[in-house]
Amino acid sequence: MKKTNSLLNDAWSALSKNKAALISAATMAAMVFMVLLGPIFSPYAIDEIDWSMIAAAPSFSDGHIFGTDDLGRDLFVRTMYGGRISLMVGLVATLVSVMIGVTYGAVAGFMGGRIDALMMRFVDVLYAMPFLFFVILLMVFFGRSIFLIFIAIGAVNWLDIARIVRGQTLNIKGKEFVDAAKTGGVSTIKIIMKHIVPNLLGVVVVYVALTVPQVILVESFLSFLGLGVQEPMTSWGALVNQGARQMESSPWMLLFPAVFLATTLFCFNFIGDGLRDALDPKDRTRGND
Amino acid sequence: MTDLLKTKNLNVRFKSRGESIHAVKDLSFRLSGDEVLGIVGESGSGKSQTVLSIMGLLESNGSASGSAIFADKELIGLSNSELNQIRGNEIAMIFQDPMSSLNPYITIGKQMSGVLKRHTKMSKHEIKERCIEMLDSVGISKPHERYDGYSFELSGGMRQRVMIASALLTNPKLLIADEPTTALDVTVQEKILDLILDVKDRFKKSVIMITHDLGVVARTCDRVLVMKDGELQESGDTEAIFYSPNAAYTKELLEKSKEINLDDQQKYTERQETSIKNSLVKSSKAKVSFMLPKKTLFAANNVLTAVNEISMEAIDGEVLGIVGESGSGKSTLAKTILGLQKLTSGQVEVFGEKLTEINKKELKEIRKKMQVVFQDPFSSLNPRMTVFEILKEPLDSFFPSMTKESAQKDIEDSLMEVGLTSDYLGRYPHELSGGQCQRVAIARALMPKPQLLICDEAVSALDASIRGEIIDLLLRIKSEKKLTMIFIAHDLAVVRKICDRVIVMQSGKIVEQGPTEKVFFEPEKEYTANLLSAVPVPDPRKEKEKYIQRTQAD
Repeated sequence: MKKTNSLLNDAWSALSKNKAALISAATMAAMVFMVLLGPIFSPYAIDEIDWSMIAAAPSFSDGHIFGTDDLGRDLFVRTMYGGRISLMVGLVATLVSVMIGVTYGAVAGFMGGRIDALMMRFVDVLYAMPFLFFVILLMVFFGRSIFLIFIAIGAVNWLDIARIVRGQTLNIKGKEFVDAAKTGGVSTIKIIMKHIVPNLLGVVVVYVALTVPQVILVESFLSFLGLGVQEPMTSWGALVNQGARQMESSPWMLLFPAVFLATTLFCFNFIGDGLRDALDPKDRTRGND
Repeated sequence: MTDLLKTKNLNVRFKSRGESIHAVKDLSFRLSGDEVLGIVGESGSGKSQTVLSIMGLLESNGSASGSAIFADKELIGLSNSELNQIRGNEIAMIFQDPMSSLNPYITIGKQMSGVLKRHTKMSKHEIKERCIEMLDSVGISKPHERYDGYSFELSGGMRQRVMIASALLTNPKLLIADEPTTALDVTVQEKILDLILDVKDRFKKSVIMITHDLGVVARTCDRVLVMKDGELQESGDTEAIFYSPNAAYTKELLEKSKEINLDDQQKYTERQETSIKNSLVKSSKAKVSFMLPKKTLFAANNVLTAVNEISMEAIDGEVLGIVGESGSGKSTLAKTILGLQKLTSGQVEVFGEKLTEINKKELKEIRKKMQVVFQDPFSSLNPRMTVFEILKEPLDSFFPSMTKESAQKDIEDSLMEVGLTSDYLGRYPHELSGGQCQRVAIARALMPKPQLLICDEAVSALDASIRGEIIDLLLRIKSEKKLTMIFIAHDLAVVRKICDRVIVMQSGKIVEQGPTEKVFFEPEKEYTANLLSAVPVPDPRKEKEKYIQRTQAD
């Protein structure tokens, strides 16, 4: 039996030839590892104030390898914890918005007609809400909490995905295999889940890879405005915000979180690019008669 | 007479994923001025690559070697800028798909004048005059208006006329037509082929005609090259090739095309008259219309009626053909019977159930007895599912209580039935060829053991030899399983071969219906007669007679 190469295998072999994407994936993996395990190896806690070391420069001798901030807290530990929050916001908010967006868009596109029109007008209405206003409203009602950030970002991001997915679905819906499935007696829900959604995979995977950095940036932006995570917890965005204020006197406070943030964004962009190329069906092998 | 084009030991090779593919092997041929040379072969025979290599238009992973001398100039090895002087100026090309070779965003005039701006020093005014003159000479009415119009406003045949007009702008010596009429309906094809011949005579051109259709060759060409797998099988005058072929492959091709030759009076299958006439599908005044988008807010509703009050029936055990040109509503009719398209008015009864009066559950029961095979083998299989999953799906939905073992056995049996082995179970559609995909699609349609099989242009997208195999397969399955078939096609020869009864449709209405022999040999309506005579026959003498008749009639 000939070894089959499924689309995902094909995509993987194409991706493994893309050096930029591979290096990015490895870097990302290393960074996640570091963020999760890093704080264990540091003698300091996230909210521990070292009164003798206010805004101290990085040094190996006293254990503050990234230095301390203007309250004397260890910057290494804070950057790692901040990374947990930033990456979590990026992944969780994206995941939530993808799940809502894909289902919503696929249903709207597949149903068509009046249902589609109603569902998409609802999306239009949500689009019209100013994002910042929406976040501030949430904060006023529920108080500051990290979960509100997930909700706020997710609530806005799924709109994009829903629109893209709906467009793709309209395209796939016209394919003959969907008609064939209908005559094969397959129920509507099964058609959406087995025939439409898997064929959206290419678009969605790429979109996810490009959305994660965008979401991290939005969280940073919110934190920068003071609407984000609450002290003593922190995120890369919040750290960059604080660091920017002390840029002249203690540049390391800006430098370290900024390097981590920028590297993450770079990596995700390269991974997204790589996935887009890998899932492009252009050069696929075909059998002969 | 001197040769306009002469190739010697022309070779084309492609590198793909480390493998080298030899697409054209040591091809030598010559083309004199003022003749039509046909290159025939099936897809993959290297016929298109031959001319692309001469034009220097090979994909970046391809390379050509050998020699091709055009008007005393060696073309192989010329730089791109040198080739640009020849391309468009001395050699012009007409492609298969006029839809994708014209840019929908630019006016027709702009696209045409681009060629002249590049190759001549004419003034703007002169360029416009010349374009309009050419549009006029290829038979486009109101050329002034068309000049400022866009390609999407034109029909397929008109677009191909525009392509021919722009190919003629610079007065090239050689016209290369790559399957120029494959995407067109037969009556349009007839007009375009006549136009190419007319243009050739009027402007004294040479033409290379690339096609897979021997009928087209018989109609248009003076000399023919027959190619297979990149190798030249035979070359010679058209009459010699058709009436006394030497190469085995040529004989095979001719045999295959004669098999479904329209002019042959002999009956192919003994049509048996069944005494019991039990109709499986019966439509009475079925009408399907679509709302078109309004042009302005207050404009009246634009309605397109695809199926216009059609009354027909399909009788148990017969093969019913539905023929018609694109836009005749034949596919919409099929979708309506399948319950994929809602009726606007009228009624369709399938297996005695009225489609407008049944619920989802009853529709599912009917679909168990009625399956479909679509045209495009690649888009009718879900690219994310393996052959096994594709075949298992109808079993899951129609027979949910079936055990795994008997499902597995059923799937393997039906795969065997369509001529594939169980090796294919784990494969994805993109690993199969077009013919294999179509076999899988047929196997899927047979899974619920239907009584009625609807084939919507099931063989139109396939190569001639594979088409023959699939038709034989369908006929075998039909007689083994005692199926009733509704066979929708625009290819009259195929319909002629397999159908017992034929319905001819035009713009949503039935023009004529009756037993195949009667409709084909004694058509009552002029439309049917025209449709039939437009089909090119692989017989050069008959084609010549028809051409003379047509030109005298004008």
